[in-house]
Amino acid sequence: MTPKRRRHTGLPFGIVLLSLGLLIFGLVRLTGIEKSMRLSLEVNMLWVVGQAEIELLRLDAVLARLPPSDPAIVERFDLLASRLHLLEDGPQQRYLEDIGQAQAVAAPAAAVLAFDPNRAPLTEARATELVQALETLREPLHRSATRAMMFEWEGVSERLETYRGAVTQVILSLALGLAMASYLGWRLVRDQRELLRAEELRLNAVRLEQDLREERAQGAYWRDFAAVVSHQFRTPLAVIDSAAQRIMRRQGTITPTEQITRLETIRNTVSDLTRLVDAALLSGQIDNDQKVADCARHDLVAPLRLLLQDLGARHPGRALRLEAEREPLEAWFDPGLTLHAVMNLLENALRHSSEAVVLRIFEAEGRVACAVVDKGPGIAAEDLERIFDRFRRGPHAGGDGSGIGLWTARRLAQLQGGTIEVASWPGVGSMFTLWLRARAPVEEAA
Amino acid sequence: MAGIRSVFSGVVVLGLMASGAAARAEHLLSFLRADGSVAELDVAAFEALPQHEIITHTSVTDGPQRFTGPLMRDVLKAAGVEAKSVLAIALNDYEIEIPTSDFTRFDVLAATEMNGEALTPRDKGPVWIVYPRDDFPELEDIRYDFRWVWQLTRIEAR
Repeated sequence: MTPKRRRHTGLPFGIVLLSLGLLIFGLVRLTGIEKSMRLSLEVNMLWVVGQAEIELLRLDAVLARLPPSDPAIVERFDLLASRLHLLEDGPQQRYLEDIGQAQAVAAPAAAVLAFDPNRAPLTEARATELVQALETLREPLHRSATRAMMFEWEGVSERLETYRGAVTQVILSLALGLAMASYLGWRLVRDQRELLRAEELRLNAVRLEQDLREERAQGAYWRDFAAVVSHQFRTPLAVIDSAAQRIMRRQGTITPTEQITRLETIRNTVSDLTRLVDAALLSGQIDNDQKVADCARHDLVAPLRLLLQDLGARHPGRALRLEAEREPLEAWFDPGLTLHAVMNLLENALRHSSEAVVLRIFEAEGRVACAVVDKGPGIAAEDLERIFDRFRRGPHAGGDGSGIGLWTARRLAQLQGGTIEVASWPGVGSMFTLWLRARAPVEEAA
Repeated sequence: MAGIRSVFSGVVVLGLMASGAAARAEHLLSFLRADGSVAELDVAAFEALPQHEIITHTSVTDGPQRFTGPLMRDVLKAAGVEAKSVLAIALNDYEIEIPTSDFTRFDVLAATEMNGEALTPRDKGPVWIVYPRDDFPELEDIRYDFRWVWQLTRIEAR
């Protein structure tokens, strides 16, 4: 892990842990406060002691007012006794010990209880003694009340202080956690932005790479183009050159007939070259998406018959036959593109065979086929894949053909929503089939 | 006049309930009903009510204690006290208002015995209002501790 990477992942992780720790700490503290607030069950000592003192004073009062045998005295004694017994019960006793008054109260309380009028009726003398015992008990009781008051307020203050401390810690931990969370959020946003920027850069790089690839392909194309064209141009130029030389050399002796033959050779060769240049230009147009098909429903047979006648004129002595299923036979196509494609297929067939070439036109499964059948040597199965590649000529091409024809034919077929299929039987011949739509796509759908 | 007759009839009715217990017919609790009439219950009348038991801690003793006595709601019913809340008054003139819903929500005892011994005025008797503190956490609260009136002597409808 590089230091930068550690800073990128380790630090946020640490912050998350720390904020979680802080939040948990705050939670624990808060829970502690909640619990201690719930369990604040304290002995209501101030009240208990106060009540005892009041009962003591009330007994004192009736003793002063009434004769010792009065039943009211017994009643008041009972009440005082019940308060003194209460003071002896567990929680109250412990409280008295806490404030250091347990001993001080116990003896005088016992002394008072010894005068129980239920056990021995009060005489005048005992009543006087009881009054004195009460007086002795009153002082520690009073002190206990004061101490209890202080003890309780101290307790309350201490508890409030504890709460305040705990709440302060909770506030601090929350604030710190919040600050860290904010920092994390800020980092998250910043990292996200950096990520976006990086992504943008990456996309730019990808785009550049793509441009470069295209540029390279273009370069390769032009290299291949130059090689093929120079090769293709050499023979016709040589033909033109030799024809011209013969005319020059035999100046005066040449017969008009021969001169015309030579000149026609020159013209034919020039038109071959023109077609080659046209084909190359068309290939470039297709590459740059400048060629758009203008399809409509036309008869296919008549224009192809004309094409065949044209081609027959250029290839005298070659048998070219048209077999149409019916006439007219309509299909959905662009005449210019289709004628060019079929011509390329026919020229390819003428180039690779010496016997008759048949152009068969028929309709099948909503499509119209222009099948060019030759009796040439056929194409090996392993070569079938590559015959439509540009500038790649078959092994039996014999240096003839530009390597553009089949590629162009296929692209022209695709521009019209059609395809070209090839079937070949080595030693028997090949069949190139241009499939065109019979109807417009919308019509078909309907 | 109506008040006196009411006292009389109340005593007669409760006395009938406590038939054969004349020895313990001593006055235990006095009541003031919502209509201003008064009633009294004696020990025998108390004992005639269904007896219940609660084992619970209290705020002034250590460890669990076993209390016995009738339910407060039965006591109020027997005395004919119907009110939203009652004023419970102790021997020492301590008084506190208790909503009677307490007695229906919880099985609150008018305890006359603690750990099998009768409560006396010398201790917290004759009657101690006891809540089932251990069964409901919400009862562990000083605001309920106030209502544990001991030395209960009188109940007034509010």
